[in-house]
Amino acid sequence: MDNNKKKFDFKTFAVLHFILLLYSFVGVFMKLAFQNEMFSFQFFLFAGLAVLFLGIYALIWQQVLKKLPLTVAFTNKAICIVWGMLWGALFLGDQITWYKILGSLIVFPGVVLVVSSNE
Amino acid sequence: MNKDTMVIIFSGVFLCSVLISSISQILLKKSADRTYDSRLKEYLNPLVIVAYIMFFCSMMITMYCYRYVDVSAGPIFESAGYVFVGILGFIFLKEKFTVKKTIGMILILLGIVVFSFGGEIFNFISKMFA
Repeated sequence: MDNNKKKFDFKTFAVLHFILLLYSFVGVFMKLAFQNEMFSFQFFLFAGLAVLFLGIYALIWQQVLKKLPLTVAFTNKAICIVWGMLWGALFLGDQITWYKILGSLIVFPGVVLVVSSNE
Repeated sequence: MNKDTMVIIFSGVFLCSVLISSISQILLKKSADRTYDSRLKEYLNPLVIVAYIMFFCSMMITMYCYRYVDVSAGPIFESAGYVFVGILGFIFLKEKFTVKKTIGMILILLGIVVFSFGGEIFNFISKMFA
């Protein structure tokens, strides 16, 4: 792969991080859906938003992969670990503990090693 | 059952859901490796259809798990997918198992354990030395 020779493609990275941000909200919407009575209006509203965000993410992700190596895309995807903790703490009262941060710090290099091992 | 037990049970179910979605990825890859005589058959063949049904089921199961599992745990549990795909790819697609990949997979599993049980592990260790 000669992707290293290419100039840093700012636009693709901006799009990638925009859809990763959307993706990070899917879990939040799923959780919010079940905080309402099952099959109530709010339940379907949040479940619908989860599916919508996931759909937009999946469609654009396919396009981003045409412009970026899989390794780079998946490594950047690990940012969702940070977003997940942030949204959990901000919107749902999840606690951020030292061992959650430590666990994330161990998972991250693991993901990078696995995705880069296919090159 | 108390809430903590439910969290542990549904964390396990969440991981099973990630496994189902990983199997669906393998099926899609299997299908992509084959050649079809028409565009339509690339999408409408048993492998792809089963893969998408599995993926959809996995989504539904994951959604239900969020009743008990924290949002912050979601992306961490999802990273178990790299481990499942690695193992399944080795068995069914004859993909190589490198040292790098193996270390990465061990780190992911270790990270998931620390994320989920870090507090308990720490308490256990500190009691041992107390």
